[in-house]
Amino acid sequence: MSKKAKFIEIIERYRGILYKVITIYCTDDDDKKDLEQEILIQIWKSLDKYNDTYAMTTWLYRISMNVAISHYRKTFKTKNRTVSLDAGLFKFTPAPETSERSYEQNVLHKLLSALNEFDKALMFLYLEDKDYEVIADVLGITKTNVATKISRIKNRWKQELTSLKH
Amino acid sequence: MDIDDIKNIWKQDMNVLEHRVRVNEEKIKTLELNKATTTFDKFLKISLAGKNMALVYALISFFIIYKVWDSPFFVIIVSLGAAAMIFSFLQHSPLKKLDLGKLGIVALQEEIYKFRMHTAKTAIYDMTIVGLWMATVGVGVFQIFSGGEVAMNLAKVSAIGFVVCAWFAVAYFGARHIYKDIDVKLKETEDGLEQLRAYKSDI
Repeated sequence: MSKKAKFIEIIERYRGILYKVITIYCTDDDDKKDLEQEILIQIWKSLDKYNDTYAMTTWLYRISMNVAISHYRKTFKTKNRTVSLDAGLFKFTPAPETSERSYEQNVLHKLLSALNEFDKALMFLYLEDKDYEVIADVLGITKTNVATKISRIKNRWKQELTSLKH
Repeated sequence: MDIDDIKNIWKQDMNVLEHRVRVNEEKIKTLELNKATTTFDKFLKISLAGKNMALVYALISFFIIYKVWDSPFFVIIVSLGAAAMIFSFLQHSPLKKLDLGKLGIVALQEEIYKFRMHTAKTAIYDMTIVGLWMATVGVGVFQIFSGGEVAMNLAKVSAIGFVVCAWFAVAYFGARHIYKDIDVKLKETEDGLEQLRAYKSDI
């Protein structure tokens, strides 16, 4: 199979992963298009180096998350965005997708948005029900580190949700 | 909202997102196929109309031949134009009306390719025939309106010759530009369909 055909097959088959990554890191359409292009370019460049011993999904998560984190750092510096949970909930102007979400889904997305780019990747993979081992492999940290960080973030979220109720 | 439910909440949200993406992609693919069909249909209809108009142009030439019947020289000139148009009609006889709505991507690509090849082969003849016909009709009309005295006046003949050549050149190069533009657009349509094929096996 030619490289082009393989590339198209991968994008077609695993486009769900890319859409999810792009959605959690970008809110406006221009940003999404930019990030999408960057991810696709990096996948194309890395395709020759893909090793069959890795699961394709793990490989794609690694590439897309690394590109998304870099992209987020670049655009965050440019746009100087800050997000706080309370401010987001009270002044929130929903993008087309968010207007269709339930309250809980909106709250979860706001909790994610408030995280830094690395923790966002961590929690995204956790929510995607990936093993701690896979998460550690994708993000390049130890399994223990993954467990510790996830536990801390969940505890923080729990506190924020409790304070919201009151 | 319970912190232990967050994975389920996330899963529901992502299922909706993936479903919406799939629906949008299907819509886009259908739109792309419709666009390709419409573009090709437009050019096919123009070509079929052109093919039938060739007979009309031949009839115009026959009418002019009738009008200049007393002048054998002009009868021959105008007859050349009529013969050229009849040749053009016969040359384009392989062009047929198609029910494009029933064609899948592959069949549509094949039809576009065949049409492009046919147009590429016949373009040079079409351009020459149009120029020739306009020139011969121009000469015939000039003969009719000048009361049959054209051949007697060298200056007028030279003027006619110059106008005929200019007219021929305009028709030839104008048609060349149009054919090139049509081929570029059809090639883009073919390429677009090829991308659709890569994403989907059949519609």
